[in-house]
Amino acid sequence: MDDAEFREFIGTRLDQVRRTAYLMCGDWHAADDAVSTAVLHVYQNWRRVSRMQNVDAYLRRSVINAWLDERRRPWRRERSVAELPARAGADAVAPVDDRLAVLKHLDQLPARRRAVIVLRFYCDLSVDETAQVMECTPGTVKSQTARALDTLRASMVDVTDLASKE
Amino acid sequence: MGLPNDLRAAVEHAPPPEFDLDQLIRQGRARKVRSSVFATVGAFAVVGLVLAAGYATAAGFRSAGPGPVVPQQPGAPAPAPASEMAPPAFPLPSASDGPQWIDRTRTIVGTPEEQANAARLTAALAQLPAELAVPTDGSVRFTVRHQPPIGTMYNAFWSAEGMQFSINIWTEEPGADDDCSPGEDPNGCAGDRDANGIVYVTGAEEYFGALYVRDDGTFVDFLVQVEPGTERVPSDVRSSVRDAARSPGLTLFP
Repeated sequence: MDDAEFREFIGTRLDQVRRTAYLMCGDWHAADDAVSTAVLHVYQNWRRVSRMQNVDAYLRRSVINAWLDERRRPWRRERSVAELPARAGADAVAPVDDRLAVLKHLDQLPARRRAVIVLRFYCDLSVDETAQVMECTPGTVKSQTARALDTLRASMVDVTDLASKE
Repeated sequence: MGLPNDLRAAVEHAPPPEFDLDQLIRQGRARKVRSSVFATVGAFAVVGLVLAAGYATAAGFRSAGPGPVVPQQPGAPAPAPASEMAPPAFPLPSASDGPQWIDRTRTIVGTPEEQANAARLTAALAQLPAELAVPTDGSVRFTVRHQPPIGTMYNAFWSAEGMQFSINIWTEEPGADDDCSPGEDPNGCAGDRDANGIVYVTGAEEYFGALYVRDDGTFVDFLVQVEPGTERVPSDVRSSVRDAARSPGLTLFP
């Protein structure tokens, strides 16, 4: 296995993938769990994955699958800790209200619709690219996007410029 | 601002990652090594099966097929002529014929302790639920290998309904396998404690594994993976694998 090649691939994408995972999970701890699971999965299959046409789609799909798997067993995420994590204060430096508002609205969406919104409007993927990541048809992506935007509209999220992307 | 800008703003201040990429790679490498051990065990079993079939054919054993290759103990009576050997059957132990956990590549089941373990594990295997499709026609491949530093590893492998099943059972100090340390979840393993140990499950669409770390020191690693052309491991099989790894009989410390 070519570790150097894998490191280079992951190194250039890790930051973006973590942010994508955060928008899906709404929690940096859960996002890091999903990303580390996905990174390990990609590493173990790197010989095969590196020959794929769209390795990025595979990585994103791995993150989404890790997150969806984790959601199916939410009780496993409950852990008691002796001390609060040090990073708890890190988020406070940003304008919390603005940042959390969109996360709160995303929370209203079912998991896969949330993933579609993040892939389309944060990762800026096309319908076809999103369908590839989500392993569904472009039609499903369009319908999921439309329904998700309807929900967000009802929450007063500004989606006026996105009608053409539905 | 619009949704795309809101999304970008929400992730503007990303904290540093909680995981260490180097450590993840080390864990991934360790898992690859473990997988290769399983593959090697399987390959040896296949070669052994071919050799056993060739031996049976050479001995004129045409109609009934190859029988179990039972290790010859010192002082034991000579094996029966091939024509009198029973056709292969799922090796269930009984009081009279002793353990039949068989290594088809070489004679390894030797010590009384190994024989007792083999008998117990063989009986436990026969009790697994129907979803796991344990064959009763003798096609389960058994091996007992000395696998330093783990020690003696008992393996059963079978193929059925588009899936390959492998159970490895061994003992080591609990916590020695840092892939799935209790309280940590660095790489997709998730632990669930019960009265006798902790079960960790991990998997993707094409494979599913349950590692049961018993409090008595037995490790039971039950892996199922789909064969090429099969879509995914069915959910009822995943559930059964998870339960089966915790079967009371699958222990080396009765």
